[in-house]
Amino acid sequence: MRRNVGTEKDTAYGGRRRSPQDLAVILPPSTLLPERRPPEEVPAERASVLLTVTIDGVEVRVPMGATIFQAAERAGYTPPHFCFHRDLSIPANCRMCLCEVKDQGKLQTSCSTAAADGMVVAFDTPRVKEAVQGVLEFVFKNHPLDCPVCDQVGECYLQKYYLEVGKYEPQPIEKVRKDKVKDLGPITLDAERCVLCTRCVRFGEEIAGTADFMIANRSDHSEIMTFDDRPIDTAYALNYTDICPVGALTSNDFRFRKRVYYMRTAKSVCPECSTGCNIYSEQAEDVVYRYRPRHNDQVNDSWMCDPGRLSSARVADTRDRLVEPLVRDGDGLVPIVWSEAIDGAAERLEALSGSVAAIAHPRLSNEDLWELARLVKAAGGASIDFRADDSWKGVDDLTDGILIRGDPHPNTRGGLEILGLDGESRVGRILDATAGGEVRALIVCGWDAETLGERGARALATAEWVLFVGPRTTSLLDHADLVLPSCVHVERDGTFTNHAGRVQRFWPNVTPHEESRPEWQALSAITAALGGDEAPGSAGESFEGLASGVASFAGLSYAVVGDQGAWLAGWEKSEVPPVGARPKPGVRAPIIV
Amino acid sequence: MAAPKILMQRALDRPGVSHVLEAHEAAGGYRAIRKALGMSPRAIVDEVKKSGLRGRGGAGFPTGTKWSFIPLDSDKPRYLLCNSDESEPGTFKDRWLLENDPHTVLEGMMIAAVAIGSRLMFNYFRGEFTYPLERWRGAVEEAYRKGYLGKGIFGSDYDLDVVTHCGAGAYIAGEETGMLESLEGKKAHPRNKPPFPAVEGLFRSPTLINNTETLATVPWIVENGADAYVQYGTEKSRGTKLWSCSGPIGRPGVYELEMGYDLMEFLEGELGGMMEGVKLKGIIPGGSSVPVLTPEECQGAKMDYEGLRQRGSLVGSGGFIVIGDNVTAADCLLNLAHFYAHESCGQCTPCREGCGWIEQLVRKILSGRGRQADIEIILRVSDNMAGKTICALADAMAWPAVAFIKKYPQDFAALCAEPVDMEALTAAVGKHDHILPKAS
Repeated sequence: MRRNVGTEKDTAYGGRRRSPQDLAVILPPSTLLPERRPPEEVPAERASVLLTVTIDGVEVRVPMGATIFQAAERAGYTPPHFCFHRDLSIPANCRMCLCEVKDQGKLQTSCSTAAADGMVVAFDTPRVKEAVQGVLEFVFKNHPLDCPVCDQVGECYLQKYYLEVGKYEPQPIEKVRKDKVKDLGPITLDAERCVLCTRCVRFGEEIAGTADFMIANRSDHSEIMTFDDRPIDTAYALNYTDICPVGALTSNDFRFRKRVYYMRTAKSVCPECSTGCNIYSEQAEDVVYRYRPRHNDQVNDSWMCDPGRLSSARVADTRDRLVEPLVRDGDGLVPIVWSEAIDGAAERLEALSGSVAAIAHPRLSNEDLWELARLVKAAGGASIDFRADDSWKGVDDLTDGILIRGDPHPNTRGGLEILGLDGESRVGRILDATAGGEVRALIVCGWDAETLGERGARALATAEWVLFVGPRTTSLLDHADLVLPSCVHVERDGTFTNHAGRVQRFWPNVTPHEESRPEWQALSAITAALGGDEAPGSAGESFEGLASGVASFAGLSYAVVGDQGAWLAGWEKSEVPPVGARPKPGVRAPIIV
Repeated sequence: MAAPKILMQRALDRPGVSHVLEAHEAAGGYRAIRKALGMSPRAIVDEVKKSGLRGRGGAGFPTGTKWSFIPLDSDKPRYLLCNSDESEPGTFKDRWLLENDPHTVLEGMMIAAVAIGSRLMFNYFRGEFTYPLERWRGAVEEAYRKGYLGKGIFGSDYDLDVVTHCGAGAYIAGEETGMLESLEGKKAHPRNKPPFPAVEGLFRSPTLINNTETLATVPWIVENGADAYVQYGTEKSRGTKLWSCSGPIGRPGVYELEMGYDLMEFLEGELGGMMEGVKLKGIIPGGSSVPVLTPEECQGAKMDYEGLRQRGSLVGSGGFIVIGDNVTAADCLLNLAHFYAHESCGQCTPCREGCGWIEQLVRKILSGRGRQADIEIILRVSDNMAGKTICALADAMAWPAVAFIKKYPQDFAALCAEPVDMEALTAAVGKHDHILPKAS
């Protein structure tokens, strides 16, 4: 299936007219007001005051301090633009978002002009169109027009705008030549393709804090470069390739691997740390090629770290994936079909009822953890924990001050909440109880034998029956009596709860590897076979059970969580500060309900 | 009554020593600042307002009004910034003042600083002004030694310091917000307005920026009173103005004229007329950024803000460039386009790409390979640049380009490789000449 380029990208790429329903989710974006303009002081009693602005005949109401650009987005129109980015300061240098404001002689840049009450703005006039067309012609003047060999094709603002607002008569022109194919470590710079929007310059200063790029030279010899052409050394380098509206900055990891218009996109959540950056996963022919950050001003704004982004390679690597359920046969494991595996598991758990314990994993989704807890309960067990190592202690530690947290798991907070855990880890006690014979059936999710250590080795040797559930082969398989293959996050539906208690949903994008199934499905099937409640038909149904069973999830559902997430009860935050090393002084627009 | 040379007299009276403090004080220097220190800031601003003095840097904004924009109740420091980054082709009046009468400029800065309650003044010098800079540094040193600067100036309790900053030679640093960026240590990329520098300028503090000539006029006004100043000039253009005159004329140089002086009378009189064998082709009256005037338009034109505006041009910075018939309009345009293409800061798309494009096209026409379409593209490109950028540099390129083609179409047509349809060219000009300042 072909991806409809532009519809899935952040609103900054927008341009198509959006429905009001879309806008309810998208707007208002965070409004980092321009660096050079201080945040307008809005007294508390006036903060709720709305301005009425007319955009091409459509009346919209925006909060005080909003720009014409934001008002236009609310009216369903995203003006063409290169330099404007919702999470960066506003330089108003590309001059593409021009609009006509009634009673003002000159055309105004909508991104930098504050909306005023009663303002009448027009984008759809011959004068504006001609001006924007003219600006685009300037942008193209020194552009090499090397689309056939450019990796940005399909997500290039220049291509998009040429079709939408360009289509001028081409003129023979002498072009200014600049540097091409400069390797800057994680990314490649092609200065000729650059439109000098300075998004990268601002990102380096405001978000990454490393100020990698600068504009060198003047006039039409201006070009972006790093000092002394040094490679970029930041854990956020690949964000440069996202925000670059053209093919000037491309990712060395992704470039030339796949044309973007062959890829299918789904919303997802990065599983590599407890921050839970919102992302898109992108695949073609069932292979995940890349992750891209997805805007969420409660979590990651528009950014993600490179280690998280490059973990897409791990998801694409299926060499160590489990392909089918396995059962112990003497010294080895032999394949069986799922129905037999479920029935067999139920049979053993029934026989060992009352002495069942589980070691969960912070990579499991909320639904998986809930279904695991239900299973342990149905089998008469009580002991369940996921803290086999100490990583959970870093759940809130922002190690680099930007996005990366100390805990490399996506759902530690969800595990603590759903399993009702506090204090020290109980994993050691579970293992000792197993070694002592009090626990006879042990369920282990995802961990390997090394992490469980010596106590684990004793427990695994003693346990009568060990059920392993996980997506990949680990050393624990040597001790398992039954192995159930599970899906990774891009293959399934589910939710993670990030460090701050925000429940965030992810969607499937590739088909499950071979016979693997999501954990919630496998575990709830065993619960049902044990004579418990009927298994939920979908992850959403399982989540409903979770919402009614765990107090902090009360009131949540997939509809409530949506694609921007929702706070756990008791974890609500009124204001989340903008992400970045040195975000420019600004305010987020008050959210209008 | 003929106006006195408000700006030039002191220097002309003491050739060779006019820049020395002693000579300057003997000619009555530093009396105005002593008077100003005894006045309330409000009174100084009112006096300047009453004088009708308008900015001499190019825009002609009323100086007193600009001063009154500085919020006096702000808890941030306030800065005074003197714009000595004079780099407009054809303009060299500030250089003359700084070389010959730096103390008057300094005094004007002091008065402005007192009027807005500023304790720190900056003078931003053009990078190439090595000789004026030497004179200026000497003057500042003398003033410090005498206690006219530093702690408690002139025995008052007012502390005032001055910082001299030398640019690196960028025309765009003369744009006031570009200058602020440059002073802050960044590239001179002009800022978006609002906020205006009066509210948020240098280091995000209220900043008053005035041209060197404007500030040099202030001491006379404070000393002699606004009532004396308003006697000179016209109703809306008060006082006198310096004109930097260049071109194939008898006596090029800096001249001080009362506002409203007759343009042709000036050319034929003070300037000594055209050089022998050269006929007048046109005059750019206010520096390279303003539209050119044809000899017909020059007839009866008055040299003040309204008079030149009425002919469709501007006073600008007062760079009076006379063009002889020994050059073509395309040569003149190439000279300007080369300058602007080199000096565009590269921030806004239209100016960054447009200036270079115009230069390319003019070169093509001058090389004899041009076609009618190229002339029309210059017009269209100019139209797409004018009024669509952060600062006025794009207009400064677009106006002369359209004006030269509009007023001398035959110059361009004659250079083209193919015959030009003059009617079509006139129609193209008619489509794009709306960007020019309206002749009122």
